[in-house]
Amino acid sequence: MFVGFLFTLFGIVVLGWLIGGNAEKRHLRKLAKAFEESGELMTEVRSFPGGAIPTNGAEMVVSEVVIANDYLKSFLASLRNIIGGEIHSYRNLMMRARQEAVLRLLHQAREKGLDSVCNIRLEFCKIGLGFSVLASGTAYKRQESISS
Amino acid sequence: MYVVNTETIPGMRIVAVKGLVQGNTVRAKNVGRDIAAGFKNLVGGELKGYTELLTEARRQAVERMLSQAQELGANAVVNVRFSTSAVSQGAAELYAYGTAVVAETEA
Repeated sequence: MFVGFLFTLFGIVVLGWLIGGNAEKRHLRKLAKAFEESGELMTEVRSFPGGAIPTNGAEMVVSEVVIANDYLKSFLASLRNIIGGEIHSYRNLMMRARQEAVLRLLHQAREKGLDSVCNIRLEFCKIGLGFSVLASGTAYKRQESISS
Repeated sequence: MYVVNTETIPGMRIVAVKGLVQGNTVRAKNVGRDIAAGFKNLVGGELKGYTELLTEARRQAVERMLSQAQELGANAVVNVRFSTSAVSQGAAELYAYGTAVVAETEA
């Protein structure tokens, strides 16, 4: 009975790990592709690089993402805590969340017909079981994009 | 109302500064969403329920900030910043702040 319970638990965790790992790989591929294809200029400088076209207006864009690790990775990370060192699963998780948030900024800018986002700020906090990233920036239309 | 998180607005000149405006909110999702998030944790990935929670909270915080700016007679808010903090399990505070200004179109 107890062995059965353990076996079920183990099965759930491994299944989660397989599905989660697959989803992670797919997500990373999607992010890489999206950033490769995008012609948008994404910067975190305070002013408007390339010059903004005043008539198109500048508008703030905000996006948020909440992401969580699977139980197996969380467990392995807690084991890593004992001996110390870099925890790769959390490192990947954080980067995925940030990139996804920035990607959403880009999509919002595109929807408004704007081609650049400057002054991108990323805010991070722990919420419930997951980690949240809030990204904000100012979208504008670049002046140099007309001439080129 | 112009809202940007840069210090300037393209094509506009800031003629008066009205001061700091701010808005915050603390929001919680119901237990159902928390349980759903617990299941989602089996495989990891995005917790959509919490993302929605954050989006709603951000909208409300910005709304409160903008109504303050309106009361001050400003027509734009520049240099907007956000801050988030976890108040308790499943509840998040979202704080938005910026500088209310009066801007006019450059001649």
